Amino acid sequence: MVFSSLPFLFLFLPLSALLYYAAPIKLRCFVLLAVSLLFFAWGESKYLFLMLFTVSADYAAGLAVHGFIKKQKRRSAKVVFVVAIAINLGLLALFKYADFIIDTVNGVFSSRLSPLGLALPLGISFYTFQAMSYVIDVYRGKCEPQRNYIKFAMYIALFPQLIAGPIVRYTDIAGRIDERSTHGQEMVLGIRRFAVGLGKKVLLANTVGALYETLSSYGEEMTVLTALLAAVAYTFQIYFDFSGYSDMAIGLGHMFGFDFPENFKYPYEAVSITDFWRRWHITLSSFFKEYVYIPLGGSRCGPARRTFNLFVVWLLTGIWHGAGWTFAVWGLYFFAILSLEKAFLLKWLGKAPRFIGRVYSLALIVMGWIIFSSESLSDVGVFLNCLFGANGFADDVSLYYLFTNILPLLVMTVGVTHIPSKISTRLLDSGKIGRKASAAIQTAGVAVILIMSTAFIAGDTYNPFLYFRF
Amino acid sequence: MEKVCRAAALMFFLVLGTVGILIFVLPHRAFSDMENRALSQFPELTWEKLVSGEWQTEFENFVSDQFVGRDLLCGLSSSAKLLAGARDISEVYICSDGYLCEMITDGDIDEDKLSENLSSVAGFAEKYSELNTSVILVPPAEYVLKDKLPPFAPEYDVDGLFELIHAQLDGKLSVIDLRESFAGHSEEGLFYKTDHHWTFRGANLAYSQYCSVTGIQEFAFEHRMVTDDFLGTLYSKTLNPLQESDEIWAPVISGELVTTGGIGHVYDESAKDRKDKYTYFFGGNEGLITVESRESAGAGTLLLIKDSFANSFVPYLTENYDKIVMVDLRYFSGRISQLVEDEDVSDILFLYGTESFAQANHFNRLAL
Repeated sequence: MVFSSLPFLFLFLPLSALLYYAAPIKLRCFVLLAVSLLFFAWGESKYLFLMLFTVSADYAAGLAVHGFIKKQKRRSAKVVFVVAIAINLGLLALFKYADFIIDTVNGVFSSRLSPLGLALPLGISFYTFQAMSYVIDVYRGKCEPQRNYIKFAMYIALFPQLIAGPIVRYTDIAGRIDERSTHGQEMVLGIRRFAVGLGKKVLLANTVGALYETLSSYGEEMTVLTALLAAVAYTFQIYFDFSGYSDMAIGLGHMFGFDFPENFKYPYEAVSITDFWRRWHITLSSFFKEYVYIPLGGSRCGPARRTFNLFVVWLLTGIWHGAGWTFAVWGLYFFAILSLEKAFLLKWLGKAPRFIGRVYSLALIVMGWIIFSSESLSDVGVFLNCLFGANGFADDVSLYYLFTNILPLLVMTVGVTHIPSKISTRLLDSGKIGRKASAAIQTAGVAVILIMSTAFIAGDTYNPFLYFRF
Repeated sequence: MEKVCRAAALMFFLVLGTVGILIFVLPHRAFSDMENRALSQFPELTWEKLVSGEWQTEFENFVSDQFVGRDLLCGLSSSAKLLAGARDISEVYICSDGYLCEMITDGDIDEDKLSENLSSVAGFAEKYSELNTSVILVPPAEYVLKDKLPPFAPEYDVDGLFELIHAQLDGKLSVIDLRESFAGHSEEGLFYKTDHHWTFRGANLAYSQYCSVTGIQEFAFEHRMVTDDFLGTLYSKTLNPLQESDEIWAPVISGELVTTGGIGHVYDESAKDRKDKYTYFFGGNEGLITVESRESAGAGTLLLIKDSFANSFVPYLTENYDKIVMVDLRYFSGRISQLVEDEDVSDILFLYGTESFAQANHFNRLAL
């Protein structure tokens, strides 16, 4: 079940919320766990045991690690810790990377190992990272272990961020896991945020996603303009899809009393790639920074070691996004750019006018998405060939789709900037127009987005789910 | 403030939940007239389906299909898309003057398949070389109405396709090419606005060209309006609330006809109350329908191998032929050679929409 589906919007969400708020406070964690498990098991019920296993293993590991540390048995604590991390990574590797590794081995050694063909459990890349953050932070003594199994299971399986993040570290919401007082104002904020996310996903991302799908179907026949349009369409699609999901997750979090970290801060306004990665999927970058880059020594070591650390982080970031060479190359592409920026480019960009940094960043970001969206590295070559003029500049296909999509593309161009949020903040939250008017506008806004999104979902067959590979 | 917010949040969930309950409480429709398709019903719950996830998928389809105000919402989404500048919805072009045309691009046409089909037809004609065999492939509306398509609308190369058709068929049978005459009359409403089929004008024009090529006598027909409320299959894809509907006209048949197969009549008066009113002609497609005419001009027996385009074309031929044997290979399970023998066929006509001919998968049955 995805958030942008009718069963979620009109059955699962109201049912969960009403059950949650009707339940006595003591039972609320249990209610939230129950509906989260239903959400998780909806598509692949057989993986319910996998989820419960992960939860139990990490729950036990947290308690054991903490217990050993308290008794000054650091060695035993370390053993448990390593085993727990190995279990988490092992499961992730089994379900996500096994076939990729088998394919690669077959390719290199011309062996004939048969792929496992396991379906990817919903949100495994996200909840595994959350579980690991907990075990690591308990091991480091940064937080107390969670003794209540229900509460811990709720944290891991929590449906709002299960499928597409943000990656919420245990320490981010430890306080709210134990005690949540839900305020009406926070719920309203959550509803508003959810509606914004829903609109981004259904009205913008799906529309431009369908455009990308159509254009990319022209494959090696694309003209320069078609390829350019396809690259721009994908750039918009992935942003509105992903950040829309994050908005919905954060909004849902607020509805149930959680305060999840922000995941996107207008990434396409970045003035450098370094800046971009502080704005794009922030919880993932900070996870890798906190749990990989800094433990490896971070930037506080020699230039060779520093480069190696950066290499490891970006290789991992790449393959986290999908088990395939394009994703690895995509990660290393950013490793190369970031290394250059660290070496000298950032200094140069700092001296240049801001728009140069913006144009530079956007060009490299779009190039990155071309790698990211391609099925294989040879497809990247084909696409670039088209983009650089193999089939001429423009044809009917490019002109037709340019003209019929110009309005949505313009809306989206404004939509990726901070301008809409600035306007709405000024209008609704500054107190200039009075509370009642502000409430009326918000209600109307939520209603319009909800009705239009419902219409688009009902009237449309195109509602893809981009995270099946994450 | 806090109280107001709580009430607002509660309202939000209650409204969503009420809509959710209504999906189950309101009566469920079996068929959507507007979309011209069967709608999903509440899926039967079994343990196997639940574990495999099949039930969940069917349940999601059920919710979507039986959703409160579905027709209205579909119309709303189409309107919003058009307003945002879209000129195609669900693979249908929204053209000028209220026309809808299929969006078929080069990628949709498999030339190898077409070539295969052409050689099946050519082989068939050679097998019956003593009979007069002709083929009419109706040029698509989007080709005839090029000027009405949205600017730069990508379309498949119809002329290129016809080159292939002539190259493979000329000399083996007579290809009645309607492109020129249709182009000359393109402003006369040869096609429905909301359906991919031709109107009586298109069919009548084809009839007169068929007569002049085959040398049979051309009869003039009076026409009468069947309905002015026809919203065809292309409308069912776009669901634009502002779409104007089509009129269906049919030639008045004066002589007495005996029809076997299908509904037993040439015209199906009950189709006026149905959604797909094009089924007025023969009640839709059937494997085998024969039409005998007592007062025909005696042109013999015609074997017509056809798709739905022929249904509105056959009425014109009833004045000429003693008997017309209509075969739709998609639904016909008998042997064609047997039919040719039994019915003492004198003429053979293949009549298809160009695109449906190119993609048809059933011409190997001709060899049976």
